[in-house]
Amino acid sequence: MATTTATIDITSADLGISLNASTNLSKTGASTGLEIMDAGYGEVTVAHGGKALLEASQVAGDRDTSNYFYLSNKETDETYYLIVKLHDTIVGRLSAGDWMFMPWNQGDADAEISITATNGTCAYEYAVFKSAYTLVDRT
Amino acid sequence: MATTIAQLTLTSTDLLSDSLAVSAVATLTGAGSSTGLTHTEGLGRKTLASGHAQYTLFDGSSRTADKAHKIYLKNLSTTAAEYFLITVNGEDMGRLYAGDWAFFPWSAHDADNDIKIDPSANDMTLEYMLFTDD
Repeated sequence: MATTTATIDITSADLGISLNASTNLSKTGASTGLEIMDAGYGEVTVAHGGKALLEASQVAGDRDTSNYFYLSNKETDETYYLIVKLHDTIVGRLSAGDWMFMPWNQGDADAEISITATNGTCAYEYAVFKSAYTLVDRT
Repeated sequence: MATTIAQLTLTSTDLLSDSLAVSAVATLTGAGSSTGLTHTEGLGRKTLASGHAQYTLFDGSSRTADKAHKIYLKNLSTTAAEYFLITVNGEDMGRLYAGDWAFFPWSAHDADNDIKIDPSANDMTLEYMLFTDD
């Protein structure tokens, strides 16, 4: 078992906020550490349209498991943002320099995570930490 | 204008053959601008005392669409098997298990884009905070 720790710190002297939370990424419903990770870096342009960044598993047993998803928009121009979708549902706009970290249980086989650039070319960094991963049958 | 910094660190010394050390720092700003977010809701906690059913945490119809809202959530349970199922506009996002937290953008794209939580057991408590430029 591996120990992977995710920590968030949110601070604002102006708003009087000093928040810290930390968790060890664990397998579904257990305290055993996750051992599967996939990560990468890429670029997406307006011309690309919506692109599936991560496909939901085609293997039923791999869905409804504890996955964690990290995405960072590496751009610096604040008018360059990524629209992040779960299947057809817009979660939110990831502005330049912003990051997100969320659970992702692949509610069904179509629940992929997609990104759409709204301006120019957006560089991104991502990682997904998984409880289970089964290779799909070859075609 | 307020300056609010959100920092993520992901670390592991034994997940891979090399140490994992990811750090990301964001200054929370309004949609398409460099002006800092100035409004928050929370930090707050909700406990669903008896019976577990889906609960609307943030209502899409009460927010301006396509803003740069950010949401922080944490499951305060200490029982590993207990989770909150998080949904956006009826689409499953994922299960937030005991002790886990999440931080993600929310555009409140339309009135149906509610953030809902569905606890897996009674008496579970969720900690939440909304950062918004509404």
